[in-house]
Amino acid sequence: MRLRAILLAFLGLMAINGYGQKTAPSLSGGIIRFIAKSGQEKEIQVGKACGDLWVSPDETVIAFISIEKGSPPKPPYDLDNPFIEESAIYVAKRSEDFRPVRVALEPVIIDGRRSLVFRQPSLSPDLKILYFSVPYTMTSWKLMSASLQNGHVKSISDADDYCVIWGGTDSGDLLAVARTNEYDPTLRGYYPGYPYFLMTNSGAKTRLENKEDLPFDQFVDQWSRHRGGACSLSDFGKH
Amino acid sequence: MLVGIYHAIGSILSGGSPNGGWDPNVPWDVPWDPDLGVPAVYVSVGEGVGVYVPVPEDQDCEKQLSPYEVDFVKQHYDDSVSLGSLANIPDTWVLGWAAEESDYGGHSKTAAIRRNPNNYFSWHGAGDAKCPPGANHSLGCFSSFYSAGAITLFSTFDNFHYGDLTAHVQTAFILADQFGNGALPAQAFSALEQAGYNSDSNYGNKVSDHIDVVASIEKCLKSKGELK
Repeated sequence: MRLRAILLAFLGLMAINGYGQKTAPSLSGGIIRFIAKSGQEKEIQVGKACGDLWVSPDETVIAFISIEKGSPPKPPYDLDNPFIEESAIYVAKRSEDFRPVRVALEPVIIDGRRSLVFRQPSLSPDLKILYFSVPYTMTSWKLMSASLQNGHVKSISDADDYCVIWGGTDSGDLLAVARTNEYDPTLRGYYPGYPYFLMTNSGAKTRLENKEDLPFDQFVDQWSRHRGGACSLSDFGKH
Repeated sequence: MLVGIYHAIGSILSGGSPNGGWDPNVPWDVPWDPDLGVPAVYVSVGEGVGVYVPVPEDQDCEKQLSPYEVDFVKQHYDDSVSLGSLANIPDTWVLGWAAEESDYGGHSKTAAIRRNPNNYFSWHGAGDAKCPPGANHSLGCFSSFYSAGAITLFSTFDNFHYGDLTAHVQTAFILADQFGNGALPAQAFSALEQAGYNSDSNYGNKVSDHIDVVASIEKCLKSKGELK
């Protein structure tokens, strides 16, 4: 455990170059910037605005979406900026100077509704599985996976926010927030809750106690401290 | 103390009534015994015979209800009336729906509204307020109950499928269409679920249960003059 902590600290230091400049790719205003091998700051070009940037814990690989089709906000009720109607997922590796590679995905049909909206991409530690979300209802998103070896896509579980664990005792599993039917004994009824889970790629879920009532990002940090490894969340909503 | 038919039976046996002359036209829901000056309901005990049944203090309608539920109705009744009027649906539909989605404003710690302020409808779209650190990224944050209700009801930023319509269908349109066609709450919210609001096949019944709860609270509070 201590060795892993030292390794993660080392990886964190490696992310800072000799001039104190952070080298991890970052997202702002729909543009992803990174420090190229030449030392120059560059932008990733995919011809569209980008969003949902995920950077692997060791910062060697990133995944993000491009907004292929979107509607501008129309106040007072339509406020998403923009409302994403179609998106695509890209993966890029530091070893290739973050050259973006588009992942071919077919439209997803869930409950009879077709969607071309893919959100929150990330990769398994062995880089063989792409995870992503599909906003299939207005109260819950669906976590999906796609094999980067054979293209097989499958549904895992409902999940509104999630991350893939890299390293530690649960490496390759996922931490997720998922809508669930909860029973409130004092109010004698069921209501939808959004508790936290440890999930496997097959969708097997173990509910996690959140004794300190932490927000998900802090819960993930705490989990990593106790169990080792790291779990990067998408830089979300800054498209 | 149990509800007892005591005072009024004595009045009837003595040829009188709590009103000083029994009137068979006295409505059932008279909330007050004028003789005793206590909360009471009028109950028929046989053909042409009725009595006032005092409601003991511990059976005051509000005291039978959870304070969380009562406070929730008191706080959001006016907004629900406004939103219901705009959307052409009963205010109890708005209030019961919000009660279900928010667990009466975040009574339990896993309710979405605990992380995303004023998101009473678990709306996975942008709200009108900036979210605080720690908010769930896929849900919006709102400045008030009213704004959450208005955006949830009238936003077209969705992928609903309803009848021949695919995408950009307001929830208000779906619910008003259901209501206008005589659907019960369970049917209307089941239709909303199937359109793509969520994936809980029992959703209509759950929301309907909460609509019943808030309706009974509204009735209680109105009988006490606390709601108009």
